[in-house]
Amino acid sequence: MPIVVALVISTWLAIVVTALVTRALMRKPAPPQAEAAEAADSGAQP
Amino acid sequence: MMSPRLNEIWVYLSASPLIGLTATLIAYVFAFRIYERARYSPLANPVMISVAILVTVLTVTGTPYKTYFDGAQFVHFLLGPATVALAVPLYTQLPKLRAHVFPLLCGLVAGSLVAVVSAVGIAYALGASPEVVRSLAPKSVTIPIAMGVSEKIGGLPSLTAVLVMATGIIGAVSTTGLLNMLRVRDYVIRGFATGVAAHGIGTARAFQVNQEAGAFAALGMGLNGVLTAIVVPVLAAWMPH
Repeated sequence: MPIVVALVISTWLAIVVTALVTRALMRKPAPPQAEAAEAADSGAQP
Repeated sequence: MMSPRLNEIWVYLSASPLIGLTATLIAYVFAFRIYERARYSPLANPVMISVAILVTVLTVTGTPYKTYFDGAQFVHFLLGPATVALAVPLYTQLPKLRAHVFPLLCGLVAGSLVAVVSAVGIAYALGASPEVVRSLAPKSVTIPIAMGVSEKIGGLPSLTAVLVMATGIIGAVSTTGLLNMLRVRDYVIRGFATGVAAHGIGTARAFQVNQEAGAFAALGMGLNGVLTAIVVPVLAAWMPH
């Protein structure tokens, strides 16, 4: 029984942690707010 | 009751090593039909079903594992070329791989460490023996590497082989639900996480869902094999004796 519990929980944790860490680091940083506001004021297209 | 023709085939096969190969192929074809009927539900994983069929058949017929493996070794042999061939789909994803090297490596290190530490920690806390705990440590990587690591750190390689199979099946069955729950949509991440946690069986599942996911699952499986072979012997110093 300890083996089954350890196998299931650790496998789920490995999937979740790998996915969340990879996703968090793959997200591109948002453009600085000042630049975004300036672009909006001037009507510039992204 | 068997027809005379079927009986002849059975008598011929049971006296030759081909019985193991034939049984394996029939079990997989049958399991894959069930998987198709279940509309590719992860709960009807064909590897899980064929393992269950083969274990039942070997137990009921009293066939020793060695007799079975004399024939099944042909499939076993193909594992090597099949693993090397995984490089081909990955090559087609090279630009994406280059773009995401850093996040993938960080995800690999985090996932690999969590797999080892949580398996060992939970089993130890629940009272598993030191040998069992050590056999569990490399359970997220492919069997040849896991058995070698297990032997090196004082585990039981044959138990590790069973645990590796079970891990692959658990991962392949549950990865879709878990990643949907987390709203992870990117096939690069979905495949990679599955490969890191559930090695070849997870990779097979990823390929059935999406080619890109399969390619990155193969990458995750390969990299985790290397990392685990380096890290687990180091971590073994802190494992129970």
